[in-house]
Amino acid sequence: MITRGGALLALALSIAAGCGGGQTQGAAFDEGWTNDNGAGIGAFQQRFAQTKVPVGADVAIGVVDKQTIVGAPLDGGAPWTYSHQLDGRPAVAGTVVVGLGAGELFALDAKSGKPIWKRNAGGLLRGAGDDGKTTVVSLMSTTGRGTTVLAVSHEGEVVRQVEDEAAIGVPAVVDGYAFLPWQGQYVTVYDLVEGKEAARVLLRTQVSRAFTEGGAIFFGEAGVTRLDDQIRLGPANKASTVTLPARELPGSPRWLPPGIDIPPVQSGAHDKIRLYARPAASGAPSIEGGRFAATYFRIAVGFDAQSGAIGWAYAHDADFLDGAAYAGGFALCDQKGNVTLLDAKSGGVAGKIALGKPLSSCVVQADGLTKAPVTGGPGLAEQLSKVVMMPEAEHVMIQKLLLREMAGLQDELVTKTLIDLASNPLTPPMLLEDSRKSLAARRNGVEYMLAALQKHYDFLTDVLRPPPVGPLADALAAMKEKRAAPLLGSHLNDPADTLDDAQRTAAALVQLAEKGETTALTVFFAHYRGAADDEMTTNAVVSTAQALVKLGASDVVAGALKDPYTSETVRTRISSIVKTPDKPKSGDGTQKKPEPEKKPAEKKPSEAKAGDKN
Amino acid sequence: MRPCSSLLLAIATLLPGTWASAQPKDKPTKPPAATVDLKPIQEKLKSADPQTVAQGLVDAKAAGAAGAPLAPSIEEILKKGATPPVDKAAIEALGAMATPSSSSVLRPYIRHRTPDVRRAAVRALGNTKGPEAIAAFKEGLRTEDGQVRGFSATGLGNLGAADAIPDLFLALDRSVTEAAAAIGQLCAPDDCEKFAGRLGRIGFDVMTSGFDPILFRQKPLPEEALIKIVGRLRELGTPEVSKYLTDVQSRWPANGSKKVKQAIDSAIPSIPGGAK
Repeated sequence: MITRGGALLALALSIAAGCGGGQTQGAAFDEGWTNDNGAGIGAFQQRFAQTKVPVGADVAIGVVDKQTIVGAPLDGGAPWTYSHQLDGRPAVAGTVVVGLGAGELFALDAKSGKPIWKRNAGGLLRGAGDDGKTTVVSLMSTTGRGTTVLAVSHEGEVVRQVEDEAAIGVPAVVDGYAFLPWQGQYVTVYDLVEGKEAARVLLRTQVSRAFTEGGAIFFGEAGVTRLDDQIRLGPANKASTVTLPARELPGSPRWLPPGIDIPPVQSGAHDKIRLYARPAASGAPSIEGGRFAATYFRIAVGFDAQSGAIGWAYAHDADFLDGAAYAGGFALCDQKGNVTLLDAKSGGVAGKIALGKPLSSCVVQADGLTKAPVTGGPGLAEQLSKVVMMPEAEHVMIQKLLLREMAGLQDELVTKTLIDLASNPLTPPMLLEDSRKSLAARRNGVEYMLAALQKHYDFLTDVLRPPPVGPLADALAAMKEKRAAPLLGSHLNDPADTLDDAQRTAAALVQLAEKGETTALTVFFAHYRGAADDEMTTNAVVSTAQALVKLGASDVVAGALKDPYTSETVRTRISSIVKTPDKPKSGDGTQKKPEPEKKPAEKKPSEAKAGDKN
Repeated sequence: MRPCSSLLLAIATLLPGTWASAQPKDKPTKPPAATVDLKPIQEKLKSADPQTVAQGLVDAKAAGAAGAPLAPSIEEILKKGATPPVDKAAIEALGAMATPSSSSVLRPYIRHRTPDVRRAAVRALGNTKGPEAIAAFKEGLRTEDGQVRGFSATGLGNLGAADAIPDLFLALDRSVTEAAAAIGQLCAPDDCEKFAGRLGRIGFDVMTSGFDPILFRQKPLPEEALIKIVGRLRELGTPEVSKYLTDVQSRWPANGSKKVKQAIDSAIPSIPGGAK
């Protein structure tokens, strides 16, 4: 019996001997094909089920410039360098790296960088598949329309050349069958030996890529569909398809970029903002390890693959350019030319591989790679704290999202981080507002809060943004933390704090102030009862009046009621909280308690700056 | 950075007793307090009518030092507080009276949210002086308001607050130009040398505002220290230095140190473009 591999080799040899053939046009990509409701692909799958899908190399390759590729095995082998002009980003498939430049298509051994074959070819490289014997390459024609698919044996002979007007995405190949996705919905199983379509699957999720991973064949773009006994249900949208849970992420990251696009030499934002997940090779359709990861420039975040909940966050020192999910982790390649292996469960660093040079772009393939789990690292609160404190402006959108997630954690470290963010003059306004809001709602981390209140604006020591006094006042008052009173008192008359901070400080002092705060309250009341021409100042003055009355200094407030300098708004509002001698007493002869003043609502910190009362 | 002219104006305004202002010109003598009838002013200040009080404050300010007996009434207005314009007028009146006891009432006003009020307070404290004023200036040096920082630096120099020198250096390194003159007024030889170490890093016009009080102290610094300063200037060797040393040479007192004079005389021709 002649095996398919043998037949393919024979075909290659016959072509080499000049017997011609191997060129096919048209029929395999016939748009007039009639939906057979999965019968054809079902039958093919049954025949194919026992075929062993080879495991690809675990490797990262980087493009240094338009003529230098570097590579390194992820299991720690020696890095390599190869020079060849590049018209686009190389592809990694199976055990090879495929590149195209200066009219020459070439394949390198992915682990060693040694050339395997070269051929003249035009167009631009979309992607490649490889099974260790044959490489299948999808090339966009130089006109920009149509596709050339080349099947090249590792001996360098073209086994088959298919040309069609369809845009054929990234192919896969196993045992003489090329899997060619096209028109966003079809995958043609192309028999390279026979030179004809063996079967076709119609999928109801966007598909432009075929790939092998973990010993299985997958088709995907919007989701990933496995070639298994359910593939016949593809037309009914019931094949073994897995998608990632929809969740809010900035930059609309994709799991699989469209396979008909030409990846350029230079990475762009779409490469840096990505999702990575490894579909299960067997069993129910799912994501292996239950985790997927997102990258956003220098940040990587791990999510639960079912709920979308954040599992971990990782702050890196360079933009991530590409990556791959392996069993138990994610291999992420960065602009500095390093690959970081992150544990899928904890986000801990499981390993690092250096490619040795800064990169323009990177391609990672991880198929059989495994690493020991990493445990005992920092907890989620600490990880998120580190990420939200990253200073690079391009991270703001994801930091905003992570800040919201972090604020939901009952960890005192979160309180500290919120204080740090709200005190840092470099914190972008979008995060500042959120951090202040979240801080006001905290009910733990009192010691961090008290320590923060001890700081003031200080030009000489470069404390150029005062602590978030207002939110701290709200939180400490809600926790009835009396130790905060003298600290809040010291802030009440600090013009570097915003007016919003001042009104919230005064409101907190209504609850927390003791005798020691009388001076600060009196000074504030004296300075602003005649200057209150806005709501925040008025609120603050009224609150200080309440606090003074509570502390037994009603005479100060009563005096202000009669003083011509007191603003009318203040006079109206404080008249209800102070008992003037001519006011009637309650029935039992005691003075009525002053009506509690309404606590000022949460205000935006940007509303008013210190010193703007001209 | 504030222009040097405003810096020098501030010094001229707030440092009436310093050597810097005194040396080139005749030392100004304090005019004797004129006789003023304070009773009507006092009545105005006690009035329940804000306009009458405002007029009383204007009159009190005009009375200057002679109005000192009115200070307690005005302090009372500030303790109770009024409107920002009235507060400012009261502060200016106290500043004109220059009564040291007023400093404790003025001090909280350097942290007022209304810029005009806090700036008036820091100016007034330069006249009322005393430990409360020094404490206020030390606070003022740390505030967000650049004018308050500038006046505070000047005030510290004027009031001889030598313990504020470390803070004044911090301020100078953060572009509080007025700190240069204050350091020049207050520095001991080591600190003067440290100040001279800023040559080349801080604008020369700012530096000269500190060198002048160093070189022309009423009680001169040791000759060795002054010669070092002249040496530092000579090392910089710019045309600006030459011009400045020539000016210093022309103002050097007849009874001043001969050795320092000699150092200045020999420095000038050694600087390219300097006088021969």
